[in-house]
This record gives sequence, C-alpha cells and structure tokens, in this order.
Amino acid sequence: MTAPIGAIGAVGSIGGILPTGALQATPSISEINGGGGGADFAAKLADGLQSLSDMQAKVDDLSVKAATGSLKDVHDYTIAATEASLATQLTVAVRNKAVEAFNEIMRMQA
Amino acid sequence: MSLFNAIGIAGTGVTVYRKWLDAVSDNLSNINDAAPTSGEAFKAKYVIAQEASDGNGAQVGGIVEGSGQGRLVYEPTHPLADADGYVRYPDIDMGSQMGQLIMAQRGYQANLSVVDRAKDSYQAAIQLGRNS
Repeated sequence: MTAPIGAIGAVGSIGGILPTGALQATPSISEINGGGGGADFAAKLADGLQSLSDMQAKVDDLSVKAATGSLKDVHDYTIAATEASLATQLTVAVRNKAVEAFNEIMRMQA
Repeated sequence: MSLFNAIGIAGTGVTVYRKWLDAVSDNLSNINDAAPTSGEAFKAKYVIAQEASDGNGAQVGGIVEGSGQGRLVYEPTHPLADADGYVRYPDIDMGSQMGQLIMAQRGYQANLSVVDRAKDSYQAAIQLGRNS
C-alpha cells in the first residue's frame, strides 16, 4: 500500500504554478478537469484512509490478545501500535495541509 | 507493511532473535537432563536464521537439533543408571550457550533500536514544513 505516499506525490503538481512568466503555459479549466486528477486523488485518499483503518483494526485485535494473554510476541503489538500511530499522524498532516491550502484560497481577495 | 517498511522489516528481525532466545533458554533449562544409557540425551536446538521468503527482513528457516548421543557420566546412585552405573547427559557447552544468549539479546535490542530510529525518521518526514 503506497497509496498515501502517492497522494502526497500529487502535491508535486504545484510545481506547475511556477512558470507564471509565460501566461500561455497556464492550463485552461477544461484541461484541469479533463485530466481526471481529482478522481484519482480522491481514490488514493480513500485507499489511504482504508489502510489506516486496517492498521487500527490490527492494533485493536492485538491489544485484545495482549489483554487475554494469547499474544505471542510483545513486539508484534508495540510495532503495530507504532505503525498505526505514524499512519494516523500522516493522515492528520495531509488533512492539515489540505485545510491550510483551502484557507489560503479563501483568504484570496482582489 | 510497505508504508513504514523499515519498521516492519526490523519487526521480522525481532521475531527471529526472540526465537533464538527461546532456543537458548530451552537448551540451558535442559542442560542437566539425565537419560538412561539405552535412550537418547536431550538434543540441543539451534535456530537457522535466513532471509525472509518475500525478501523483506529475516525469518527462521528451521530448527536443527544437535546430537542425542550426549556424554556418559558415571553415577551409580542415579535412579536411571544402567548396570555399569552410567547415565546419559546432553553434551551442551554452557559457555557457547551463554555467548549465543548475549548475541541473541544484542540482536533483539539492535532491531528494536531500528524500530525506534525509523519511527523518529518517519515522524520527522511527517512534520516536514509544519512550522512554515
């Protein structure tokens, strides 16, 4: 599952803003919509959230095993918990970046 | 597994060293097992570590058992002694087992360190540009 990282890769398209010197290079609205990038990003976002949910379900399962004494390896639980924590932090970071970008656009004025 | 790959890979290493610790602890706990000369002595267990079949990390390929021949010890008063007064003890070298114990412990710790460092690194990547 490299989907969440792929979603971050989509941020790379911001580079397209840079050549502002040549206004002709600015893509038209129809070009942007025709690329299907939006749907692709949404699918990757959904994939990322699904993998986060899977990780958390695994941690839940292992923590029940730890409580009931059927956990075979202590590190299985702690490593799964670390991975789920990192995945959650990554999701929150992506969310924050998206909200930040949205707010930036909302503050735009003539 | 592949999103935070370093953590998962180090986890497979921790599992291998945990099994090695188990094997050493089993060998040490049975080091004084006596057996009649007609039977076999306790066989020392040795963990075979190898690369994981999916190429990500390590796995235990199998457990190899040592010789059951052991060594004959003259103990006529032992309840298991044969007519000549001999019993069979496992031929396990305590020094070698203690050395393996240290290697297994250090390997376990090394892999846990990798988990910790990898977590710190991934966290730094996630926080990239947070204070801009």
